Amino acid sequence: MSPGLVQMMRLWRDVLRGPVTFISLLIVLFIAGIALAAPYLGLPPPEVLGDELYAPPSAEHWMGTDNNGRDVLSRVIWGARLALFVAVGSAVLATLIGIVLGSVAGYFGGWLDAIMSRTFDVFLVIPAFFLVLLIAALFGSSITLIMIAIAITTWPRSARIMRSQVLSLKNRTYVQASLSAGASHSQVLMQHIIPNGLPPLVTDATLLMGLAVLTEAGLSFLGLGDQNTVSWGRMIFEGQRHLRLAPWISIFPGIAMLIMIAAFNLLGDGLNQILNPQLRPRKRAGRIVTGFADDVPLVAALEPAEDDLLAVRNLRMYYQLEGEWLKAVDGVTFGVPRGGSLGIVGESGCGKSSLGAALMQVLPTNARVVAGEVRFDGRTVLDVTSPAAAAFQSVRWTGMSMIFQSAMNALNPVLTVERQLREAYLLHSPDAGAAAARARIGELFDTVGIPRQRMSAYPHELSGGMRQRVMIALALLHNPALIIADEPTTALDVLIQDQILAEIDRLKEQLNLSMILISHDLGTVAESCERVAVMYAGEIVELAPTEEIFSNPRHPYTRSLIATLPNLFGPRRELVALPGEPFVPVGEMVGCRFAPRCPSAADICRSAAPASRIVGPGHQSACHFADDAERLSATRPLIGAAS
Amino acid sequence: MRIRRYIILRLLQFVPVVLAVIVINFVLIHLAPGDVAITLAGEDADPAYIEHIREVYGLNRPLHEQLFSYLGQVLQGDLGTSFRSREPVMDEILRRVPATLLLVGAALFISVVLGTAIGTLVASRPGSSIDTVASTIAIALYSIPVFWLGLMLVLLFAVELRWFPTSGMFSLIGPRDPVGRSLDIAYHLVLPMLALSTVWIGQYLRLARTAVVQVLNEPYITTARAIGFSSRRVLLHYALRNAMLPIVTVLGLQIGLLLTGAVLTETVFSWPGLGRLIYEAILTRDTPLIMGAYVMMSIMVALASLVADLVYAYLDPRVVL
Amino acid sequence: MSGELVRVDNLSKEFPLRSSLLGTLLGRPGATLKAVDDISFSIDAGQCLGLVGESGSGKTTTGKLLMRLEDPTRGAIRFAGDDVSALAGTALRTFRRNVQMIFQNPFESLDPRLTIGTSVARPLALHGIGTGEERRRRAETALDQVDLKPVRNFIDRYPRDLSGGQLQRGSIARALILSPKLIVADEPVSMLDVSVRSGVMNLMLKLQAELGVSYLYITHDLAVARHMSSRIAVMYLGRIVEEGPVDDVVGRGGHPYTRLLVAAVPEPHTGAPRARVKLRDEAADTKAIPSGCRFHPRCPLARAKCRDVEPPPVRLASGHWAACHFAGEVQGRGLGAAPQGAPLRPADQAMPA
Repeated sequence: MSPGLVQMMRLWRDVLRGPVTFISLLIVLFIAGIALAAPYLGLPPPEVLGDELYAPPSAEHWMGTDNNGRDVLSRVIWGARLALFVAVGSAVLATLIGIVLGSVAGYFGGWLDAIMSRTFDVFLVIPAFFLVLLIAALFGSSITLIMIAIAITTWPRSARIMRSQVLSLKNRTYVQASLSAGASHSQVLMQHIIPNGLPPLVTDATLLMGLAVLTEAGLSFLGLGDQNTVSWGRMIFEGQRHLRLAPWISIFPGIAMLIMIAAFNLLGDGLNQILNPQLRPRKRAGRIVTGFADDVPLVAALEPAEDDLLAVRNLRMYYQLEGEWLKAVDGVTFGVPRGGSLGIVGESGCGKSSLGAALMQVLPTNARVVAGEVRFDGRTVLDVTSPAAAAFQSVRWTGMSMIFQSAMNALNPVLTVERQLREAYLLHSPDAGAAAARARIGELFDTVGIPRQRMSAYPHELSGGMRQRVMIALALLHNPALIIADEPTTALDVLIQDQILAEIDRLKEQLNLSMILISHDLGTVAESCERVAVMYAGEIVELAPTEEIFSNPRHPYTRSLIATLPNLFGPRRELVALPGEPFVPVGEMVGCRFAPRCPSAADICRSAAPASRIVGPGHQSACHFADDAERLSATRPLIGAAS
Repeated sequence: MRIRRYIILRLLQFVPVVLAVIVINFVLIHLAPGDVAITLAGEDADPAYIEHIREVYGLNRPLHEQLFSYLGQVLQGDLGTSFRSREPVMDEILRRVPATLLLVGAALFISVVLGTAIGTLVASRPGSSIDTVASTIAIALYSIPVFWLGLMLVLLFAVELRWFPTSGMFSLIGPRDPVGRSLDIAYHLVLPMLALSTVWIGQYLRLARTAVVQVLNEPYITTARAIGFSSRRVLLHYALRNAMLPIVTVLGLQIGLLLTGAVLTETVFSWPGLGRLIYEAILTRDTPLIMGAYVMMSIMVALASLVADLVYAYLDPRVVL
Repeated sequence: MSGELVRVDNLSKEFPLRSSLLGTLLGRPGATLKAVDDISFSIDAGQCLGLVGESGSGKTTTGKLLMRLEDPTRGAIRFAGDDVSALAGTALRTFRRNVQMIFQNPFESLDPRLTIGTSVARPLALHGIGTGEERRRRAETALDQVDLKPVRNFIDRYPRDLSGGQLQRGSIARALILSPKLIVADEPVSMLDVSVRSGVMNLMLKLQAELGVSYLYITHDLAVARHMSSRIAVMYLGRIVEEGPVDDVVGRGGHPYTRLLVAAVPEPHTGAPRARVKLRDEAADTKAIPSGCRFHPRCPLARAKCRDVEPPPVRLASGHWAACHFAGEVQGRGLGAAPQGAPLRPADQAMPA
């Protein structure tokens, strides 16, 4: 099957999924069908004068007749032909001009682009309608001319879209790859850039069609349209003189126009959402979700201790996808002692960040905590079975706070950092004044090592490392007992990563903080945390003191994670490569989630989910063979421990 | 200082725009079939009189000479004299500007404020049925041909219900005192403003909704929620301010489109604004008036986009002017 | 075959910064960003050179210059003895066959509109090699080589159906299909999941052993660079600051920057805390390259000399050099070295408004 066909089929499937888009497509097709069939519908000819003047809508004349006795319905249908002609003609023409000029400007750049895009801008500033008006008035108003006039006043829009498409596409690596394989610029443009850049232009062409219909109608309404054809605008223009006597002359063409333009616009909007999935609203998870609490709870071998600062039991947080649940966090149990630290390690999609969001109770709209209980400092702060009893608000940010991933976007770009910190401070200490807030912020800036004069900076004026320090200051604002750090150093440069981690470690010691450090990097977690939990597909597969994880890993996944890392010192060793891709916990699941990739897997792994069991002091593993050293060693052994 | 430098630079950039407008119009007008002199003198005028007209208006000189002398005039702030009224074009235009500003300004204010408010509310529940309905209605609203809506409003509120006047800006025998006069204008303003803002409101509703939905997905919103700000405060304080950015951008870009709606509305309601002036000038081939009006309109559009950019820079500290 | 495949001499690349339209038209030079600043290195046939640096170090630009995707501002690149910038016509086409690239982002590496098979075979089509059927057979072979097996499950799929690891294997297959002599690999595994990464690295090593292809392996991860390469060049703000055999650079580095990079890698296997050195200044600004030694504002060992005098390369061993005034001391005693002269005051933290 050709790629074009496959894409068309996918597009079609998406169109069917959105009712509004589908209906508007039907309307457009319906109007087009009727308009094309107009000569064969047995209607009274639109221009033939009748005897019945000003006849109101009746069985004979569904939409009545006008001042010359002409049938309004027939005229509306013939008017659709003209509207369609103008719409399609000018949109196609404008888009073609836009594609050519936009891709030349975007692709070749430099002074050519500078001049061309400035020209686009000039054209955009000139009010297009007035230019069309002038052209129609000066050069006579044949419908073809009007169509061309609309096209030459609207093309800069398409050109701008195409230009920005090309600017982004030409840096795509498949374009670079094609160039480095020896493709010429024209080959790259024709084969990769223009075809991939078209979708938003097609969307915009639909909107242009609506605009063209409006423009033509506007011209006709001003009496400057083509006098030889039936146009909706001209009908309204002629009808307005008879508004009191026969309002139907103007009402019906207006409604027809409204329906057609709305159909174009809705279609364009729907296509836009299909092509840009990020515009699509996420499905909201239902308010009440039942049944999941009864899911077989993973028997947690290690229950949280009575006096743990944070105790999490059987926590499940699911995302609602199209008709399915993604079990991002699926029955997680652990405890964090006062002053203790726990690292949560896993690959992308394993549920570690979702776990952080669930603990902090900042769920995306399509996610729900469906089961579980969280206790903080002896109090229940989350309980699915009795939500009313939970009182997270009392510990939010004052007892438990969070350092977010990617400080670039985690701070509000339009407010100074001082203001963001001040507002957060005053929210939980409403009685403190601005002066107290300022003093506290200054103190924190000293603590995390930012010069105080940077308080008035906006986030973008700070370097990545500084921004992350601001995030840390924000988390420390109310002296919390527990901080959850979600990938606090990802996206920072190596040296700065190291500095920030050192800072976090120092503060943890100095302020006796408890800490949950979420990371994809085993090494990072190993250095900062006393205990490590390894997550895979929504579950904690192994939980152990840090040295144990490295010296005596008892889950094949942990073993392979360690063995996939290249070492910096000691003899170079061959890296273990796992087959396949990380498991996505959706739908019915039988057996161990790691089994499809596990070198140690046996039949039982594919039929029964393993329960966690204790394999040593403070050490649990969810593997059928956690105690079977021989079997485990099928998953490539750990590295020579202390090299 | 930086701002002043920026404004001066931007004003300098108007020059090519205005130049382009003049050249395009000039070329169009002179390429057009038909003779302006004949139009002016009348179809069956005496050839000598036509020649005289040519002489007086400089129509017999080579095209580029006419263009350059016109450009020279414009540079001195002189837009020439209207063929029809024999009045300076500048005066004619300036007389009409306030009416257009009043109409467009009032309608824009209402549609931006209401549209943004509703769009923001809807955005806090994306994907809900109220969101789908509001978005669809918004698109339907801006698909309405404004002149048709104007007629329908006249039909309903002026002809049938007789609540508002059908057209014009003043009553023929209206009050003379300032308060009464303002009320009279406001009374006449209701219907045209309603027509325009009904169509425009959909635009800003959609824009605000999309912008707020996108902002609500930003990590800093998660941060604010995690800190414990109420969802109301997150929406109004954090999301809305950031969402204003794309709205301002579009506002700046669409002034030309707004003027289109204005000219059609002015025609329906016989509103004595700039749009109607241009329309009349085109119908009568009043070349100096057409040129002058286009120049002024382009300057207005360019000024509006400058103001939009300044507002943007004020709202977003990342923008360096 | 052995011997020098690539030789780069005094290569520089500058990009104009925010120039005005008027300036562009008048050809007036504006401010420039020195992405690559006078670097020289060579790669032997069948070898892998690891190019290590942080963001903004110029490592990606170096790769693009080598591919002739960018033209150098100054300096020369020789590939198999030929000056790359002078290539044209047939010679250029031959060069394009001999040098291929693998990119960082697997999700953008293959055209979303084309099947994997079409994308992989495309370089053959561009060079007019074989019939459609032969090209498809060679694409099958290439997919088999990169372990996208069974091939029939992948060859007609679209990129959106594949995972990051599979896509990256697809781009390797596309790079291989012209039997190149050199592959420039720009962070090929940094966007992949840990458990998938090692597979791609193993594949690249296997291909090197089997086909004798050379690599320029660009990465920010020192451990990955060491695993993949025989030699390492460390880049900082556009300049190579140290180059040498991999274990010499990692184990006995002569540049404080190299030492800091090594020290910043957490040792996952012991979990023991490392001694951490505090940087004097965190940010490296590519737009304003510091005077003297460009690392001096951040260097814990900086002396007055470092601020004023640009350090020349210091030879430390055969094929191992570092551009530091105190390279010898640093090599001997690491960051604990005590160079002559008083340390610089901590950098002034005030930043330009």
